[in-house]
Amino acid sequence: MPELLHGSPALRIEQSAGTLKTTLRFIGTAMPTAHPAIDGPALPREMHRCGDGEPRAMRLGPGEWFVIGWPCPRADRLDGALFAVDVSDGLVCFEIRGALARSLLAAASSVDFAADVFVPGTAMRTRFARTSAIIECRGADHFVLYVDRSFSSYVAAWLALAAPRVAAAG
Amino acid sequence: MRRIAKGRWVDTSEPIPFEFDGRRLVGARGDTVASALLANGIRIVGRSFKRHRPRGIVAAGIEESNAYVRTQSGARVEANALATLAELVPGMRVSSLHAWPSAAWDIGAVADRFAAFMPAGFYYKTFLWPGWKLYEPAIRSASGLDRVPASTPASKPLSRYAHCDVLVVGGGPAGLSGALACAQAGLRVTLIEGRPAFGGWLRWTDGPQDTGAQRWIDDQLDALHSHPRVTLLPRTMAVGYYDHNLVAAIETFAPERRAGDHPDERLWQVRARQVILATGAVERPLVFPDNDRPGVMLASAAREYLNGYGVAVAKRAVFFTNNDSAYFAAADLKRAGVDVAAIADCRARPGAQARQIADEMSIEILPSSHVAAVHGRRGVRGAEIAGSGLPRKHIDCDALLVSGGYTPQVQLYAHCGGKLRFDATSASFVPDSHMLGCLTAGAINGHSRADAIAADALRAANEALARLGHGPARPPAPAPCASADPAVEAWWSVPGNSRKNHAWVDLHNDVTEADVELAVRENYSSVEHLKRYTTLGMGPDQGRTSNVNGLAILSQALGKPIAETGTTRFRPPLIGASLATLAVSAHGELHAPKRLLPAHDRHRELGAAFQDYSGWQRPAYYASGASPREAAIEAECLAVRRHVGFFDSSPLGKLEVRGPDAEELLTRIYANGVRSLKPGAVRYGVMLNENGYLLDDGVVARLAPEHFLVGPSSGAAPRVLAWLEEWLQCEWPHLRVAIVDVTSAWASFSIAGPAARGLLRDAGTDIALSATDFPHMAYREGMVVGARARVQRVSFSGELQFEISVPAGEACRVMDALMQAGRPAGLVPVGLDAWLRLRVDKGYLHLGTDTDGTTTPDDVGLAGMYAKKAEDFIGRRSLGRAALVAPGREQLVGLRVVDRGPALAVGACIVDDSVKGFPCEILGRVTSSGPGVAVGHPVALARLRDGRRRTGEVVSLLDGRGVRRAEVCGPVFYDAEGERLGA
Repeated sequence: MPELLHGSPALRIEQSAGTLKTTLRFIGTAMPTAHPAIDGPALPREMHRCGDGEPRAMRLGPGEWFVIGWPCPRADRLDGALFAVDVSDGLVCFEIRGALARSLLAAASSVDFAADVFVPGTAMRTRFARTSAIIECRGADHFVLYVDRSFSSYVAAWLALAAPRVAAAG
Repeated sequence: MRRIAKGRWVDTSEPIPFEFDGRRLVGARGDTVASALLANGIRIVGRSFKRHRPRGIVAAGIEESNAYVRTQSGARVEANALATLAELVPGMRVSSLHAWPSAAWDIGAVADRFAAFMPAGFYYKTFLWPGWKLYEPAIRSASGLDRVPASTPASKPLSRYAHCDVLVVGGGPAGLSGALACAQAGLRVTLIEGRPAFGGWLRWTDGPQDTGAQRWIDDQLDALHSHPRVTLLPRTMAVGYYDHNLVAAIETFAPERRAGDHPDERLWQVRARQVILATGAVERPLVFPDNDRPGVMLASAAREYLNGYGVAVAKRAVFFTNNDSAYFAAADLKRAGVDVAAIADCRARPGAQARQIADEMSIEILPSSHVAAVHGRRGVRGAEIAGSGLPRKHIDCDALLVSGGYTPQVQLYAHCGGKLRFDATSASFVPDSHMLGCLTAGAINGHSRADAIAADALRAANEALARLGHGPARPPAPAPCASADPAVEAWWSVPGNSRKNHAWVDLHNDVTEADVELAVRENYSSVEHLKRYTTLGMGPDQGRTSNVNGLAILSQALGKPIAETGTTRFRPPLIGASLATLAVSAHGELHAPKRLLPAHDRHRELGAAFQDYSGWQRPAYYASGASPREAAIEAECLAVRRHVGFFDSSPLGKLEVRGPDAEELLTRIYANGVRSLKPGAVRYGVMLNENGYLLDDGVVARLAPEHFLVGPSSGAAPRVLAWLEEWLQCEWPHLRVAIVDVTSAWASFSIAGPAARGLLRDAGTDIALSATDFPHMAYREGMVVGARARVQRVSFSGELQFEISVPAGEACRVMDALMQAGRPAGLVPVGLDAWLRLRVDKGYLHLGTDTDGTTTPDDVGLAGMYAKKAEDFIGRRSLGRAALVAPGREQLVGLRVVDRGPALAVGACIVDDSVKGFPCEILGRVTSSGPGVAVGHPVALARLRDGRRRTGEVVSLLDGRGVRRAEVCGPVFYDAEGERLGA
């Protein structure tokens, strides 16, 4: 069950373990001519783009995707050029919703969260409150934060501190 | 009360009660602390830094150099608040600084009698041997600024990162015009202004006569608001300008908004593609005897107090100027009913604008004159005017309003590396050229006329637009106000002044004309040396009003042009910034990101005392009942040696390395080889940096021919991952390898002790556990208490040990099951303190404890690892350097205590006591120590010069409690044959 960290008219934050999470890495010296395909979600070609629904994949780096809601396949079921690792237990999710969601994110990360820049379908790994996080934009006012499990208590405390201030200041 | 007019910014129908130094006063809504004090006729607001002379308000904005006060509203205390910027709130208690019992009557004023003993370089000349420590506390407590009371509640800052195409700093006429021009091109524009309202100096030019300036400001703001990509940030002061167009600014929220959860301040970090600095200029004072008397004020400030706050700073005023701008102030004051006695103008022929205003307003001009003296110790009572061809003239007055021209606010421009040049017309330093990404506009460039400012703003905006690939903007409408010509006559000091020790250059730091000249005589003639020797331009004021005057007097003393004298280096922050705001949330529990173990709550329930280890909160020991720390640690050590212990080793790094070239990569990274490592086997290895020094150690397991699990030491996974990726991406991109850090995805538990195998079997696993099936340094996968598990037989304790990794989400359940299963065998949880002592018995290396950044594998006895390795690895070449193979290197050894004393202190020095007396030569240091619970005597590891050669020697140690004796031996004290861990 998601745990409510903050709830105000313009900002709602919930923490949960989330669903299946897989890191998919390309093993090779150069991206192949044909885009790698898997038996699962389509892998976005464009950097920092994310698919929709589940399973969905987001491209975090030149040879790195992060896949949500997809059972990590065994190595022998993958193209030899891909390396999949189940990281479901290593990351915790924070869902952030509301008109002030972007303000809250911009309080912790130097990424440009403007509505016409960080549009739905954008995802990237970046610094968030001095830790590493993957931030996915699922809707105009809906974001998911994937945070290293060991930092989740710290990030939850940070969000609990900052959210009321953002809610008050706008 | 001196509020004689209806100020445009205050609402006098709403009185605001407040206190100043215990006096109950009343201000008006919209007042600053400074305007409210002036409205109440308060002339002395503080005492000077060194000499405790009475000081009054001299300015109306950021350039104020005297009126630093403490404000308290409710529980909120602001130390060193600038009275000219602090907004008055009901019930506010304002206290002066540098004064006791009050600013009006200060016992420290006696210091002024001893001014001759406090010249430039006072601190350097005073804090000398002998005995300077005797009087240092008294001097320091008498100087300095305010202190934040310990009882002050924590502030509530917030941070905000932002991006834009064009950032305009300064909301005056140039800033407004520039921002609007860029906004009209559809760009994302952010405009920041330090004051609560936009408009800058234009706001107070609308005096008794409505010039339409406020309407122009409102029109610009309406136009800006109509552009959806424009962000307007009033109350936001830019404090620093950093590389790559990053501007830091502090937004101070209105007092009435700060209740509850609302933050006090917000730190903005704005990254802009182009920055336009329209930071304006501030009026500077003139240097003449007793120019620090309360009532000596900048002419522009008097105009602002009158037009903005309705406060007349005088009943009868004398002006002293070297330019035309003071005449506009004189006219406004006269229209408001202030008696303007005369304008002393050091120019022989004042400008046409000046003469016209004086004629129209019937104000007497005294050309070619200057102020020779000021009467009134506690406030101006009159001025002596002298000049060529004039008889010395005394004029009664209660304010002396001065204007020495305007100083462009170039600090931010200089923060980012901008060069300055001296502009003779405005007698000030202005930006020399525009830099990549940074432009300047308006008064910062020395302009003062509204039409020139509008044209300059358009030029800057067009330049920014061109750089961003846009066409030119429409010319803006210039602000409809009369403003002075920027020309000033350079006038820096009173000719032949015999009282230079009373002619203040820097009011904020009590630096006089005599101080500057003394510094030059004592050879502190560089501008940077002058600053440090005299404190000119230091402190929160940053020399805003004093810099140019100081430099000019310095140049006169040196006989050099001002342009050659140069300026000091401006550094952030532009104004005093609260450390709490800069730190934002990084204090208290959130001071640094903390990493928690997957089973953190279980450890807490077991009584764990947590400590920070490389960012991880780990159990140091488990407090059982009333047993003190030492007893708890000893019990944990004994449990492992005799029965079995449970240790949470989750922070051990776990990097999955996979690919056809994974073996090649690790062969190059590790000093020892991995090629011979079979799937299912584990090997201890070390990695070196390019210099041949130990970087990290740990175990690597081969899961499959092309798949490895690399285990960096605890907390080192991010660093090692970055190291591997750097080599992979920058040096060896042709290697087909991918690396994923799964440290947090797995919880790791170590079961160590003679009963470990039985415990694991009883807990339930499908992995064959016999020594034959699962030998030491082997890796297996299977199920443990129903969880998917990766199990390694490795040992850091010297006992039979299984390191079990399970998905982190299963950590608590698996831990519960193991603890339950181990209870009959005497299983106890073991903290890191005991764990590290166990490894000392065994002589196992702990990187960072037993090594430093210059330790080689040979220094710690690991040269054998790579002795037969044919292939190259990182650091190998450096290992052959003469310095790394020369005799005399510190080598890791064991120390067996022979004096029957307790364990040696870590850090104890091994000394050469063959030569009597001190100082004695230090031969090495104890790096790890323990009581040797199962060994029978205290043990220690040390790095000792040529240590291995000294085996068998008895050495002397100084451990802070006396001289100790220990025998040098091998580092392994326990189970040297390895029978226990191999069981």
